[in-house]
Amino acid sequence: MTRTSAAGGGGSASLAGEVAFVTGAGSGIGRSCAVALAARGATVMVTDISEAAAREVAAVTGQPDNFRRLDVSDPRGVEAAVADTVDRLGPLTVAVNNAGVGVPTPYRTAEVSDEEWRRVLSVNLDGVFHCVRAEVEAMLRNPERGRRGRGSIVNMGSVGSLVGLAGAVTYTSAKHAVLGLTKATAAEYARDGIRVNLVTPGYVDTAISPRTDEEKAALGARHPMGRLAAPEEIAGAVCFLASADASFVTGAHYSVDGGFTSV
Amino acid sequence: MAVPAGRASGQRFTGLSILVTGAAGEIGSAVAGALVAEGARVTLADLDATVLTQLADELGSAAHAVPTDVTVEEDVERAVAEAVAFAGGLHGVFNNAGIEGPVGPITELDLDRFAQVLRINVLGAAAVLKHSLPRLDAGGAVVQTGSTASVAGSAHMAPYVASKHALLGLTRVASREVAARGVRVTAVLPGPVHGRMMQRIESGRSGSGTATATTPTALDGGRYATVAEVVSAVLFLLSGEAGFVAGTGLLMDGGRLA
Repeated sequence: MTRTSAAGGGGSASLAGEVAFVTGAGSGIGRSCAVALAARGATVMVTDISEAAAREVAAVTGQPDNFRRLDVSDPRGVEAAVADTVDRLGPLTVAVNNAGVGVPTPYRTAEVSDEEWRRVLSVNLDGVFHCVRAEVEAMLRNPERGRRGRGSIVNMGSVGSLVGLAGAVTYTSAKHAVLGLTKATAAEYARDGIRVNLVTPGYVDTAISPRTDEEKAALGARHPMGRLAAPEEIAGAVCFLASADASFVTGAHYSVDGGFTSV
Repeated sequence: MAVPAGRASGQRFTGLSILVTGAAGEIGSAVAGALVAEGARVTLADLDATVLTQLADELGSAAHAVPTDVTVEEDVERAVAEAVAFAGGLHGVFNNAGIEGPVGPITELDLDRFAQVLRINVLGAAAVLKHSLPRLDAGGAVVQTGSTASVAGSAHMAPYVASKHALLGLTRVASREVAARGVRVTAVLPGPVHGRMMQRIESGRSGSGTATATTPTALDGGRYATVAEVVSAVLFLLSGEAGFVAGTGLLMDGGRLA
């Protein structure tokens, strides 16, 4: 068999009837998540710092009106976006908090300015907190739906949630913190039927991180599987966690890293 | 691309050959049934030949029973060979055979019974890996039945906890050895599952002591996982949807360890 042997296609996790809110959905992993959620039947609000990118992805999902610009570092903006999603699309039952910024050029800790620290943390940690707070608040208003609970929140971590990435102290710190945020929130709201989990991808081959073939090969070699992830492979785990198939999964981190961490 | 589009939803395993050990148990038989329902040809291995044959009859022509004692290496070798012969290859393994072992404090441990738990839960799983990994090509996957006991302790459960910790280590090592050729080895780590094993553990029928796992702060007031929830996670990990998930155990414990 080829690579597809124990493999398959569309997946079994139906998301029909779910209303999903995705941040950073204009490109990369977030875009794949929005498209995959919609393909499984969810109504999806595509949000991104770039309104043009959000609009384009909304068109791809077949729900061309469901987009808006969102800067997750702005707490009032996040609250407004979640409220708008509920108003327009119905009770929020799925959220994918994916928006994040990277570290374009590696630096060491002693070289990081106050401004750089705030730039990364304001999006990668504060932004996730703003979203989770608003989403939980919205989901608490939902009725219990048996094993589907009131809602499922999936945060986007990284191998940097689990191991230290040299050259990226800001990113590593934020992604570790998001693991703690995920677990604490999961523990708090488990009894309310709100699940909160983290997906921790390895390096992903996306258009927003243009790399030469040599760079891709070098990065891929850091994963035991010897390659980078495709965005769709991250979206598969996100859809599983969002769905009722994962009805007993909360407070967990799901590594989708080709064996990078083996934890 | 490891996740080809276009396969009909709910038919992730059409034409694929999957070996399930511990197939007569509650989780094993449910996984086998779900795999057949999604189009797989499934080879059922278990010590309990009677239940195994019944299950194969129920599942019909897509299932093949091979009575197997995972502590006997020749049995394991034959089960793998029969899976290959039955379905024209091997694409996935649910490495699931295991027992809870004696329940009781360490000060009262019967070391021979401890060793028997390790022979089944660890060496048995290792034998299955030893003989199945060479038959899996790129895209192939092994899912092992770990437990929250793979990452956390539980009073009166020393043999089981030690064995499940070992199983997760085995998962990580096996993954590192085969990942480069596109074969994935992963584990599911369920909390206590509603079923016969927990009934035995809680009633004291498995040894001199009992163990409980109530966690009222967890999901749904501390209920146990259902077999169906474990099945969903196993099928996800076996499928191409998890094409970049390797060397890791996925917790499903209702927030117990959060």
